[in-house]
Order: sequence, then C-alpha cells, then structure tokens
Amino acid sequence: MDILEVNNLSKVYGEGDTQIKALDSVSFGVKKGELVAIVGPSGSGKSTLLHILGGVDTPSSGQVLVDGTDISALDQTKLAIFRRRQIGLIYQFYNLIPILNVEENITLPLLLDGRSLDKARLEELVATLGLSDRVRHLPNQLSGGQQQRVAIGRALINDPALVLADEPTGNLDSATSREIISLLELSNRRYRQTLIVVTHDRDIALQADRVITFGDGRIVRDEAVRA
Amino acid sequence: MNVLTTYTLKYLKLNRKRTAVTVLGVVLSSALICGVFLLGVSFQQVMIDHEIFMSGDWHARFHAVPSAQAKSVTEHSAVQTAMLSGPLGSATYGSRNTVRPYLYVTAHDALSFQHHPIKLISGRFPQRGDELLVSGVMARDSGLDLKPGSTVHLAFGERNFPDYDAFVKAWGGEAYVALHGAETFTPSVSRTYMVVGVMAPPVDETSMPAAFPALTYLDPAHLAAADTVDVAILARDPRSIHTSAPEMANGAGLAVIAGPDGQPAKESISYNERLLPWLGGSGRSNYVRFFLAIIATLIVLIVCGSALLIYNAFAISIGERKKQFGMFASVGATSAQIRRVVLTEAGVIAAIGIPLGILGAIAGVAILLKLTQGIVSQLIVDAEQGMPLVVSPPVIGLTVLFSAATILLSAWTPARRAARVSPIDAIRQSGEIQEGKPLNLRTSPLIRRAFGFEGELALKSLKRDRKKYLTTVLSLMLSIVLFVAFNALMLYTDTTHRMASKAMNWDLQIDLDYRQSHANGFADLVSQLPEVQRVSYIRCSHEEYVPPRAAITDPAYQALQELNSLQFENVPRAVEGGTYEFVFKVCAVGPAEFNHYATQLGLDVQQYSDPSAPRGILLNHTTLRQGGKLYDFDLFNLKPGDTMSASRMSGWSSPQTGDETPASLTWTVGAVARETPLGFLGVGLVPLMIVSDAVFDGLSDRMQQLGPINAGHMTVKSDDPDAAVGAIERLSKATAGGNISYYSMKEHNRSQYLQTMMINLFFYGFLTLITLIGVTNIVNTLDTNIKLRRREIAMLRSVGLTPAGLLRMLCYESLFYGLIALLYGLPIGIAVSVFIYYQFDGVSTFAFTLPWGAILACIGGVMAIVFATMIVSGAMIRNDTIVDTIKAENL
Repeated sequence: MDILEVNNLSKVYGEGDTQIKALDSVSFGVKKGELVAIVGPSGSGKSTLLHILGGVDTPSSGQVLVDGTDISALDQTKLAIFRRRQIGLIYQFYNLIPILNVEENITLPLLLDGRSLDKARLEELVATLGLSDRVRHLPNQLSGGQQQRVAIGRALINDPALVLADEPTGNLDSATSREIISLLELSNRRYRQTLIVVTHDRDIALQADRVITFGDGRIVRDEAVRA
Repeated sequence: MNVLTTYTLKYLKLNRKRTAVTVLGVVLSSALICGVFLLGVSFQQVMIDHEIFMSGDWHARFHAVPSAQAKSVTEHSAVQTAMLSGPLGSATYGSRNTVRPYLYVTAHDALSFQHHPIKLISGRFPQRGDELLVSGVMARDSGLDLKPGSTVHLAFGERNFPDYDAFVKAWGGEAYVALHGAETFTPSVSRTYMVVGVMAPPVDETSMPAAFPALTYLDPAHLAAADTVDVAILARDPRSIHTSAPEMANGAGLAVIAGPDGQPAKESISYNERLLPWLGGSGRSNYVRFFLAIIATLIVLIVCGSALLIYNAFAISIGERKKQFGMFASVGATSAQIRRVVLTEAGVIAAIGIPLGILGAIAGVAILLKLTQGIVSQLIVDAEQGMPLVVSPPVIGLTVLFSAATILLSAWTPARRAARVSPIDAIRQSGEIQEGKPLNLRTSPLIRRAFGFEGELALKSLKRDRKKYLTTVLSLMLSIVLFVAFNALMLYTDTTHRMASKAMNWDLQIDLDYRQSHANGFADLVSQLPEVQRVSYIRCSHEEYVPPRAAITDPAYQALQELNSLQFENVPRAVEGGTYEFVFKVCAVGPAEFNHYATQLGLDVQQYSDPSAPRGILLNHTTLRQGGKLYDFDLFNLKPGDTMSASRMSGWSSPQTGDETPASLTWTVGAVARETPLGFLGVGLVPLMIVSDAVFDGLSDRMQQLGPINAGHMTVKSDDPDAAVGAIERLSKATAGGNISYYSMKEHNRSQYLQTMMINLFFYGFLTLITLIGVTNIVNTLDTNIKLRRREIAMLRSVGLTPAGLLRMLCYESLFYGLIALLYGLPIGIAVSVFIYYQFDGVSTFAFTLPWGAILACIGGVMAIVFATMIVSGAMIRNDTIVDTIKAENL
C-alpha cells in the first residue's frame, strides 16, 4: 500500500476573474521509504502541495490519505495530533522556537504529546546530526546550518510516516547544503524514512528515487531516477 | 518637513491601534493629573470660603493700636485692605434675661462689617455711631421685643468679679466670660442707640457668655487721639504674613508684646489661623499639610503609573521597527536624527493627548462635583453649592508641565535605543532586540510536571524579555498595592469611628450655662421628659495625685516606664520616690444619674452624700493601645476604704487667694468599678472618681484651689434624639431662657458616614482610572507579545500544538503574570497596611487586622484582567491559518 495517496487534489485562491488555481486535480502515490523530489519553476504549486500534505493548509477539493488516514476529513485537534505523530516538517527558514534549547526543539513533538523520550534514541539522533556539544544552546547561539540540523532532528524524532521538506537548503551555503543533503539521505536510507523534498537543488534531485516535475499546478513529469 | 518627520507621522497613522493605545495612556495620565489639581484647587476654594464664613476675611489683626498710628498700618504698602474695629465694652440694657444680662458692644467700620462673618436677618448694618445691630436671640430673650426702629438705652460700665484677669484670659476675652456668681456691675457711661438691624447668631455661638454681642459703627473720622483701635488687614501676600505683620508693627512704632515663643503675643497681633493655611500662609494646620501630602502622593503615583505605560508603548513600537531604524542608519541618518524621530512621535502624541486629557478632566471633575454637591453641602456649613469648579491657568500649566515631563522621560530611553541600532542588526533576521547577555530560560522541572509542557512554554515566554515582563508586572503591582493599602486605611478609619461611637454611650451632648444651681435642677427636669431615658450632668475637677509607689500596680508601673521612654505626650511624669504624677479627675454626674449608677453597682447612695466625709467610686481600669501594644490593667492597688490624697496641680494658681501655698483634699475610695456612668469614655491614664453632687458642691471651693473645674455639660440617652432635642429646647425656654447648643451622635455618625462615602467615591474613581492605565499597559504588552510571536505560535501548531493546547499555553501565561504580580504586590500592600496601622496608634484600641475582603477581590480582579486580555488576543491568533503565518516574512 502507498504510504501517501493523493486523489484529485485542487487548491484555488480567490474568485471569478481573479481566481488562481495553485493545484489542478493532482493525483499521485508514494511508497514507504521512497525519497521523492518535487521540482518546477516558481509559482508552479510545489510548496502549496507540500503544505497540504503536511496538514497545515486545506485543499479546495480532493483527498489526501496518509498511511490510510484521510487527513482532509480530520478536525483541527485531530489534525494537530496527527501532525505531531505522523508528519515531520522542515522549512527553508528553520522556524525553531527561540525560547527552547536544541534538545527541547528536537523533542518538541514528543513534549507536546506528553510522552517521555527514549534517551538512547535522542542521543543517537543528536550524534548523527553532529549536535552533541550544542544540546543546551538556544537557536540564536547556532549557525544557519546547525539550526537546520535541529529542524531535521525535530522532523525525525517521532519516526513519522512522512517527512516533508520545503527548500531545506535554500538558505545555506554550498558546503553546508551538502551536509544537509547527506543527512536527509541518511535518514532515508538508514531509518527507511519516506521523504518528499521540494527543491531547486540539483544535487537533491540526483539523490532522489523519483522526481516529480510541476508546472502550472499540474504534474508535468513523474519519472523514477533510480531503480 | 523632512523625510524623518514624514515617516514618523505616516507610521503613527498606519499603526492606528498602537498609536491610539499610547494616546489613550497620555489622555488618562494628563486627565488624572489635571483632575487631581482641579479637585485640589476646588477643595482649597471651598475651605477658603468656609473659613471666611466661619472667622471672617482677614489675615492679621493688630490690637489696641493708638489711633494716631493706625494710618501707618492701614497705608502700609504690604496691606491690600485695612479695616478698623474696637471694643466698647460691656453694658446693661434693661434686659429681663438673668443669665445673660449684658451686651458686649463692638464698633466696626464699613469694611469691617463686610469682611467679618456677620449675617443680617433684617434691617441693615449700622452707619452711624448711634446705631446698633443686635442678635436675634437677644432680641427675643431680653423680653424687650427689640427690632429695627426700636430705641435702646445702654449703660456701659465694668463687670467686677474676683480674679477678673485670669477669667478674661481663660475665656479669650470679656465678651465670652460667663456670668460669675459673685459678680457686680459698675455703670459709668450711658448712651442711647437705635436698633437698625438684627443679625444671625455666629456659627459657633454658645449660651455660655454673660453678654450678647451687639455691633455699632466706627467712624474713623471721629476717633480721638487717645482712642485705640484694632486694625485688621488683608495682606497683599498672605504667605509671608507672619514676617510682614511684625515688620509693619515695628515700622508703625507699635509696642509689640512678645509671647513665650518669641513671636508677637495674641494680644498684640493675632492671625486668622483658620484661613491662612489655605492661602499658603504658614500655619499650625495639620489638616492642610495632610491635604498637600495627599495631592503630592497622588501626583507621584499617577506619574509613575503613566510613565510605565508610555515607556512600554514606545519600547514596543521601537522594537517592531528595529529593521527600519537600521535601514535609516545604513542610508546615513545620524543617531541624533533617529532620536528626534522618536521624540517627535512623543511630541505628536503629547500634542493630541494632553489637551484631550485636560478637557476630559474638566468635564469629569464638573460631573463629579455636581454628583457630590449634596454630600458636600451637608458636610460643610455654607457650602450649599458644593465644591466650585475652578479652572485656573496655573492648573492647566502644571498639568501640561507634569504630563509633558512624564512623556518626555518615558520616551527618552527608547529613543536612545533606537538611535543605537546598527545597520547590520536590522539586516539580520534576528527577531527581537537582544541585549547581549544570553538569557537564562531554564525552568524548574516541577513546572512541567505541574502544568505540562504548555505551562513550561508559558513560563519561558514570560522570561524571554525582562523589561517587558517587568513593566507589565509593575503596572499590576501598583494597582494591587494601592487597592489593598486604601482598603486598609478605610477599614482602620471605619473601625476607629465605630469604636469611638460605641464607646460614646450617649446620644446627645448639651452645653448649658455653667451656673450649678440652675443646671442641676435643669438636669433633673430633663430626666423627667418622656423622650429622655437617662441624663447625666457632668462636672469635673482636676487635681493632682501622686500615689506611693506601692499603690501603683506592677503592670501599670511597667507601662508607665515604657510609655515615658517612648516620649508619648499626656503620660504621667516620673517624680521623686519612684512614683508618678497623675492627673486625677473628680466628677459629679447629676443626682439622677448618680443614683442610677450607684444602685447599679449595688452601693448605698447615702454613704456618698456627706461632703465632710468625701467618698467616691474609683474608676482606674485602663485599656489603651499605644506604641503597638495593648495595655489592660488597673492603675492602682486601691481597695474600698483606702484614701487618696489629692494635691494642687503644678502651675495652677488658685483663683480665690492667689497664693501658692500647698492645698490638699483626701478622698476615700468607696468602691472600685470598671463600668462608667453615662457620658464617660473610659479611663486612659487619668484615674477618675465619681462623687455625688452634694459632695461636689460642698467641696467645690476647696477643689478650685487644687485645679480647674470645667464648665459642665449634659449627656443624654434617648431613643429619639431629635425629639429629645426639641423637648429639651422647649424646656430650656420655659425655665431659664437662652439658647442651648447640642451635639448629636446621630448627626456625628451621619457626617462620618457621608465623609467616608465621599472619600470612597473619590478614591475609587482615582483607583479605577489608574488601574485603567495599568490595564491599558497590560493589554498593550500582552497583545504585542502574542502578535510578535505569531510565527512562533504557527510553528508550534504546525508541529502539532492543538487549539486546546494553545489556549492552555496562553492561559498559563496569564496565570503566571497574575500570580507573580500578586506574589510581590500583596506583601507590599500588606506592608503598607501595617505602616498605616501604626499611624493610628494611640488613637485606636483595635487589634491589627487586614482587609481580607479587599485582598480576595484584588486577587479575583487581577486574574480576571490578565485572563481577559490573553483570551482576546489569543482568539485573534487562533483564526490565523498556519501556512499564511509561516510564509509571511514581515509581520
């Protein structure tokens, strides 16, 4: 079964003459463990799609099934809980909570769930992210790359069904970008994480299992890169 | 207008809400300041009018000025108005009134009539030396039916009675001396007058003096060189009258008698001590000092409260525009120019807010004065119009000064901070201004356990910006402290009054003329009136009692030592022999009351009736609270059968013989009691002995050698005090004639109640407004906090914070703000209450207590305010869509 199923998804802004169709009856599926890159020109609807998949935006019509759950049918509270446990979101501008330190930012989904954390798992994750000596730092004491790594940690800590990343390297220099890409790759390979990445970065597209190209709110091309 | 000013004005217009809130703060602040000044000036005016009504419109009076030198006083440059008057003396006039047979005639010139509290009932003021203005009461009680047009023949002369000088001095002038039992009158000059007018009795007239007042005209042109006049003046500058008056006297060559303190004695220069303090002249008026202290305190509180608000508003506004200031700097604006931007904003807001505030204050005070007109007219004699609204240029000027200063000072620091923003700070997307030191946002793990993760987030949010957090908390604390302290003050005042009223076990107090024979009989008649339950006629003699050391109880001795070391006044002095010198009062209460009292105590009245074996009931149990301690003990170890040897009071010269030879009286203690007869408050440190009237009358000559005997008064217990007063007045007219003056506890309580109500009204009005300033501040801060954190909150929601979780987080933030403000504010409020309690010391006998009701209300109010603010702001955020907020770069 596909871990993600998108059926006739549409998103329309405005009315009448000023109507904009950001997404136009998009349908596709993603298998568990796939690394999917979504590319396309600016304004083609990629980010809109990602936000809807992550449950932070609502579609105008259509259906999104994540691990069998129709997220478009969930109310605010259930959606929030779903996001907590099943989705990991990584943004271009790290969006960490400035008053929480690195450890707290990473374990945020767990803290919101009121669950106790598995110390061993956290340590391993932090070590993998290269943040072991920064655990008590606040975001304003970290570099851009370190902040993005924290964001990745937060996305992974709950072992979610889907990790969605929107231009994760857009704000980083090339060396740091490469580090981030390899981390994402690592999470995909080692933790069998399903990853959907919206990106302009050619390197990410090259690492992906599959590349979906968007244009004018529709899927233009959907090709497997690696077998 | 340069670009920065344009920018400033545009910013103010665009951010209507922020601007409106700041302007509101300025309006409230200047309205309060203006309101306080307006009320102060109004009150001052009412008191000036009142004091003029009570004691006349004059500042200083020179007595017995030789008429030849009068001109050098009246024409002195420091004198605005001068008026002449002079006593002509006592005269008989054929009155049938045996209690008040004289007239005391004073001559006034025209100005003097205008400036003294003389109210015409009918007719006119005298304009010639043979015209007379008489008192309405005299006209009726003399039996001569005098009215305008009547002729009356006066025989001026001398009143002769023993120890004339001492009595005149004690009573404050011959016009006030009561009729002496052994008095005779020697007429010397006769004059005929025509009555031209009838005047109302002066406000504080009693029926004690033997003379009715009568006024005639003083013509300065007809003054002989040998005559002396009193010259009363209105000085151009009343504030310095205590120096200018003696100077004038010296300049005019007047002989000035110096008093014991080196200042001119009252016989030479007297001052209108009631009026002068209200005009700014130095006076021994605690009332005025208290009043000025209140005004100053209120202004300080308002300035502090509004400074917090305005500072906060500016700080927030600067914080939001950090990026813009950085850009200005990068494009070449100097620090001074950026500072000016902020100060221009302050100026614009002041220009809008201060006039609005002043107008608001004038309107508000006008309404308030109208509302309280009824109460004020009942509290202050002659203020039927209530307090007047006085809008004077100094009031406006002071308001503008204080308000502008507050705004300028509050905007100064934010202005400097804006000027210090460097271009690079702005270009980086680092959010709020960090002040360098890394924040310590660690919270105790208990917080997470008790309040959940949302609670921990809430607490960390509070700690992230110390300054904002402090200003919010301080605003709340100020209101809390004020509320608790004021309620404590009201509680203690109220308790004191209630205890005093309860202690006063009578309903009416009546002053009669002092002649014993008349009064005793009168008291008996009063006691037979159906409207009267009990009546006591109280006369007390004051003697000195120095007990042997063994007679003083140990607790009393200890207390006396303590109180003496604390230097309280009116405490018995320590004398040789390890003992103390007590003032000892021996009192008669009228036959009816004494019978009632003695019978109540189970005593045989007959045993107390013999003046040759003087026996009395000793009251010497003290409960007093002074220096924070409660004293509750008997003063002496005396039992029935013991004797007390009373001696002459130090400094008392006996009127009869005028010598200082020691005299004494030995009293036998017939019983020792704790209950007091009607009309007594209790025993402080002055022991009291109640004796029968027979004993008192029989020994009064000897008692007069030991100390003064005060004029008697009656206290009456009645279920219907108003009816009782009417009945007593009718009885008095039917028997002795003349007026009685009375004091009703019911009236007193009512006046206390009205006073309290008025004070409450003013204070709660003030507190509401100042809390409004605080609330505006809080709303501003919390609202801004939340809006600035929109992105962060959207982030939390995207990671899985439910709407309920967000609400919980916001609620916890409110809870913590409120709790912290209460945690600091309540103890401070309680500490201030303790301080206030000790100011009541010596006056009160109640145990320390706190206004618990108010404290609970305070807690409720604070939490309500903070919660309401949070919820309202939170509701606005909940409707944000997550994605829009996260995408938006400039919020």
